Amino acid sequence: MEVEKREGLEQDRIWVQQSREGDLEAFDRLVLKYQDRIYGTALQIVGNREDAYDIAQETFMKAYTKLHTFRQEAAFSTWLIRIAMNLAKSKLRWRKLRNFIPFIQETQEGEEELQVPDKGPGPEEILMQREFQDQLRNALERLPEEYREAIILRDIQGLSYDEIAGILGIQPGTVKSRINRGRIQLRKELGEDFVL
Amino acid sequence: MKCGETRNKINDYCDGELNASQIQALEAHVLKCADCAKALAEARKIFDGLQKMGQVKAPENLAGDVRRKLETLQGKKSGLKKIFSPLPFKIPLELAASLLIGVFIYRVIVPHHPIGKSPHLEVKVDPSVRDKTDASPSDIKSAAENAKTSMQPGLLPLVKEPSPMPKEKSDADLNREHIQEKKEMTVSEESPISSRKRTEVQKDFYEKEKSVSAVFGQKDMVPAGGSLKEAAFRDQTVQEGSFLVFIPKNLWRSPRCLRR
Repeated sequence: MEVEKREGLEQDRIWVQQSREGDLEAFDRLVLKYQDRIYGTALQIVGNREDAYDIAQETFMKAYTKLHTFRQEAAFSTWLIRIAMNLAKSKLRWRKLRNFIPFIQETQEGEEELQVPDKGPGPEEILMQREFQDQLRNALERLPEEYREAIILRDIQGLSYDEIAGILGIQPGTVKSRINRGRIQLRKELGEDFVL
Repeated sequence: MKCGETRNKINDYCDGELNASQIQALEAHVLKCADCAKALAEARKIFDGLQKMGQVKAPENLAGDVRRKLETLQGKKSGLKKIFSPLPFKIPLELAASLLIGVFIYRVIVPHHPIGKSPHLEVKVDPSVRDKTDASPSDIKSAAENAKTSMQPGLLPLVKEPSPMPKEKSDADLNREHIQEKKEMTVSEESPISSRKRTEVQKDFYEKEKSVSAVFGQKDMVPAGGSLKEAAFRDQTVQEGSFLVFIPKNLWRSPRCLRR
């Protein structure tokens, strides 16, 4: 696992270097490798596919134009997610300012995209899963932003504490604390209607 | 392990953050405690749900769209480069700028005043020669010496800028000035010498000029009018004595002068 990760980082480093020299093919490979993660992160934060798509596109464009500022000390994926997070958060703030359509209603539009049903569940089970996903998404939306982003990065995107600390610009201890508190609050938000 | 401790560690258990002994202790407690077992089941469900939320595929056209936008961006950049450096070789910006500044200084800042054209210039006649139509070579020589000593590089000698008249002046002052002005003959003034006499003066002028050139013997100094002297005399725009004005040759570089 560690070896794979190290090889992946080394491959990223080569592609980043080639992209810096204007090799669009190399940057294409980076886009293909990270597009799901970037799009997914953006979708969890902004809650609708259209905005998530714009953010993902903007993230890659920004990454390419600012590639000379990227220091190879951190992982490229971490740097990329940080860009996406910042863009998504500013999009959210802008939307709140404009009293845009509530997050919950928009997420229901993209529900089918988000649903990844298990192999072979019956229709009733699919319905229950969908119901639970709705509950979970609504509960996540109600969390304070600092808890929500920590949970998105850890439990949804599966990043390490150190990576999250790098993305959010905080200490790993603070990350862990936010995640714990966020999980407890998320459970509370789900309330008694929790479907087991 | 007690219930409180178990509840605190349930999330870490689901997250894979516990070590082997902690996992064993927690699982042992959950087997005995129904409430903790329920809490663990809920936590697992939440974790699974969150993980599923993360299993999102990006739209298929995302990478293609990014590529197209980047190509457009690169195309724009190379277009701008072509505009700003259309030559196959590079000219340093500093060199281009200094050339531009040099041309600007030469054309605009360095003054080029062709004689008799500037409204601020007046050609004065040396009074010692003015009234002497039959001036001897020694007179001319002394006048030329005066002119030479009063000349400064790059400036027209014996040139006066017209000054505005003071607002309040006594009659005596005005009279004195009037007399003074009369003494100073300018190119714009009509000569009091008759036309018959003028021909003689012109002949005399040529003789004097030759002497002056001989006295100076300097290549970079030419008598006023220089090659224009004949035209000037033919048109009668230059009066006698104007040969005493000397112009450095380098002031004749102006294209405006060459056109004359």
